[in-house]
Amino acid sequence: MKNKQPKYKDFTTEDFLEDEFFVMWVKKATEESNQFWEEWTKVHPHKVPALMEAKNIILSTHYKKQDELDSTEILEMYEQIVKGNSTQPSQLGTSSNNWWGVFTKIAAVILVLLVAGFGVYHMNQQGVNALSGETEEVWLSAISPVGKKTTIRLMDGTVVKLNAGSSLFYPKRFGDKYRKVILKGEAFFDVAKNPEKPFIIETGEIETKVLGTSFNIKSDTTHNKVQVAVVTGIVEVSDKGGNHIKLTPMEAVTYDSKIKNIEKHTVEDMDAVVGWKEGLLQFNKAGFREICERLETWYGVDIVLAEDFKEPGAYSGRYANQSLQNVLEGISYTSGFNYKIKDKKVFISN
Amino acid sequence: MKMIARGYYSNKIADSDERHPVKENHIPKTSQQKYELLEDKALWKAFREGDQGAFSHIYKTYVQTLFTFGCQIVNDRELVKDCIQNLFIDLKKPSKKNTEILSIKSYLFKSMYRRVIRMAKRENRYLSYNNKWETEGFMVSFSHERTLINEEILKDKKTKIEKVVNELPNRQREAFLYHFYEGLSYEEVAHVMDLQKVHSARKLIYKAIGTIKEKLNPAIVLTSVVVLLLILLLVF
Repeated sequence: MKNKQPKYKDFTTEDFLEDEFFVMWVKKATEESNQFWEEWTKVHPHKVPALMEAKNIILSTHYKKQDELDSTEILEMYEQIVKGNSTQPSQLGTSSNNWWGVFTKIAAVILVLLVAGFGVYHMNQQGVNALSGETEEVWLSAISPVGKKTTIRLMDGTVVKLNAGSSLFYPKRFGDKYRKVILKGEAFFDVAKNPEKPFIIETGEIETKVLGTSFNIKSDTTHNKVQVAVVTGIVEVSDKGGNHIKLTPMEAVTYDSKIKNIEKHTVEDMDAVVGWKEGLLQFNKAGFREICERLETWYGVDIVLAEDFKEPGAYSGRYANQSLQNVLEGISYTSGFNYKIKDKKVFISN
Repeated sequence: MKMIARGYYSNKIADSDERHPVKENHIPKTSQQKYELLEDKALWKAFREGDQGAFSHIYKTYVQTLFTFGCQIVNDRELVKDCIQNLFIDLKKPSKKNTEILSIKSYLFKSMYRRVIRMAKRENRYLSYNNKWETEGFMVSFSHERTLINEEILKDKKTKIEKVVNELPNRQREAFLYHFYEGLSYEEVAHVMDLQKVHSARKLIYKAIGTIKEKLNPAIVLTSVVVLLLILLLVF
């Protein structure tokens, strides 16, 4: 490479950019290239500004659209790869904006979850590589399939109740400084007290830190929302923008990851928030689409709407440990539609 | 990002779940560094020989990059995620294990590009030939965070370069990003872009830089042309 020396002596910034050997050194230095450029700068000190400028331009080049995956997504995808669940392209109805497009997508998600939960009786424990932390530990995952709730007792005594269609990632052994878990979906935490080791829950862009208390976290990726509601104790919720909000009982925050906005509010009806863990299914002026989504996850069914179906208005109602049939009976009576349950499918028409 | 392999194996004995995805257990505890230091070809070889740690190392190293890359083509997170998932699932199939590669990154990128286009087409997401990517796809931006003595002057220059690059033809812009952002060599760029000759990739990048040169220093270009003509006149 020494023979390159004379070539570089009249180099301008752009000339450096045209030099593959130089660009590759900036992007991925090797021992050889390091040595070469070190010597070179000694011989041509007056060319250093041009070289530094070229280097700076290369290092600051990036895509205008810099989309990224979060740690939960990376873990989940890895799990799917290990299991070998490839997604059939036809299931991805994401392009159309109409009802049906959205609907196929929901059905597909549920299908994938059902596959994931199949053959695993209560809880699926599987070693997953820790992709996020500094600690080197084995991570486990608990997946609650649709239509089923799961209770997990962690090694520190914390009890987590996972709602249907949710998953929790946690290390086999907690580190020395804190206890960290990753949640996707909705769960109720009853955290074992340990002031020396705070309990941290990562949910997308939101982190909830607690010392020992019980609260509910709901992350809804389809609607870009995370909600944390406190039943007892004190928790601190932080977002990536550096906001920290302290919550006391009957308080909650809602984070909208689309507009990066975090908002604190009081909870008027705690049952509506945490009632799910006692089997309480509650709708509070819920739109028809929300009702369908919740029923599908709650009962593990697939709802199929008639082609010419007209959406009824908002609905409120409360069902404690009721069968799907009873719930549908109630809603259809108020909202005025017909339904038919067949295996794991519900057909709805006007 | 690079911690996995080690923790995975060192804790293995305690976790004897039969569904455990790892089959080998003869890998030493310090294997994590092993993967980092491995050259592409050796890492690929280890993976081809069934080393699960090598596989997860490849996944961890490239998953984020592949995602950002895929989103340049189609602005659909779920579609891009599915493509990555399918890409890695297919990679594990025995039939794929004999593939000779130029480099892991260029191999993954080429496969990823094809998959995203294929799936997007199936979803009717594929735009016309001339407008084949999402609106902001393969557009360049320069960050200004890195501090340097001449940062102020450079900032201005970068803004100018940004404008020039973003007005370049699609193929040139694509090659520009592969080379300067992804750090692919000319040979790798040619591979990813399905170009027969390495020379063609170099030409695309040279053209891009030529345009930058021209637009940024029109006077210098002019003088150099004049000087060149003078020299030619003197010689002959």
